[in-house]
Amino acid sequence: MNDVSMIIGVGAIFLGIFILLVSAVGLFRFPDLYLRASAVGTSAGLGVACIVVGALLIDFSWMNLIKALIAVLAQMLASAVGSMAIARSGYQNNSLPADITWIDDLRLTRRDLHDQGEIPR
Amino acid sequence: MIPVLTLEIAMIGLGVAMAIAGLRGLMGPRTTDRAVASDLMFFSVIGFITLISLRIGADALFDIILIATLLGFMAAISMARLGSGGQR
Amino acid sequence: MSSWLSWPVRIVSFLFWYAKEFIMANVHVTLDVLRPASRMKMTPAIIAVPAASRSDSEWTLISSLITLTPGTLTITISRKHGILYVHGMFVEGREELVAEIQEMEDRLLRAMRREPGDLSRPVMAPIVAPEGESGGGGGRR
Repeated sequence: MNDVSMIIGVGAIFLGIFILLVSAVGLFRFPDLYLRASAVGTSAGLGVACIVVGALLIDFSWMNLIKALIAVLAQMLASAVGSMAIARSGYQNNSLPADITWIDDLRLTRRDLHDQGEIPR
Repeated sequence: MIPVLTLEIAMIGLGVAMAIAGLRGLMGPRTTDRAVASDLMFFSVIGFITLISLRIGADALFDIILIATLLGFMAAISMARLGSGGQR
Repeated sequence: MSSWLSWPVRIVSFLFWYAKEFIMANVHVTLDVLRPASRMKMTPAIIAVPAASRSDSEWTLISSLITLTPGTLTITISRKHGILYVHGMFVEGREELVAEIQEMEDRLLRAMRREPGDLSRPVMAPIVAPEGESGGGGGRR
């Protein structure tokens, strides 16, 4: 029992590290802020959760289970709110989406483009 | 106990992820790109804390992770605030 | 009274459904990062999705859940017009993304509310002209 949960725990930790590595590569492969934020989103949710669950399996107790559950839930909600805040401030700060973005409804609401007359009122 | 070599391989993997994210943070054309990179670096720091606690057998491992996740939220929000030049 | 009894069941079944979607989306995004550049099939788009949420907690939860799913990201919301501005990574068409988001919202609202209540949405996304001092377009909360 102890050996099995240890092996599964080490496997979960390595899976989490693999997800972190992949999203680090995604930071370079994706062209704009919003796609990069999506790539980091995989490690924010599943990556950290895998590492914490792996540590839990290696060092199990009921108290640790409760703490790990709270930590994973808090991490997921906090990182979601954080990446929404970053994406929103990016759009306000003229970090335009890459050219492959083929529909952009938010562009209709941009005040500076209205002032230049690029979008008719 | 978990073999030390396994933990060291895992730490090297995390270090590589952190270095790539740090490079993006140095290169990132805008403040918000740097904010996303620093977010990812913070997740690798959480991984490092976990691995080091497993290695030295610290009791307070999950308490530290719990506090670290909440601190990361503050970091992300303040980076976003920085990126939008102080407006909300 | 039956709505009280079925509440935990509905919430748990929503959580299972969301966990399935979450893992599928993770696999999609991870595969897309690893795919060679010549065969990358990203079609990102920012789309205004009409939403049926009403209260503060519903808006917060639906936008957080959308952002938590890798591949979709809420950039801003307009409560006045009832719109979520969602950035998607794999968007085949406006209708597909809108249907995906609205399915998630329907399930969330059915799980959260004791009665399903008002699930109607604004039919057309109104053209939101800029107003106020922030250029974010009605997105000020």
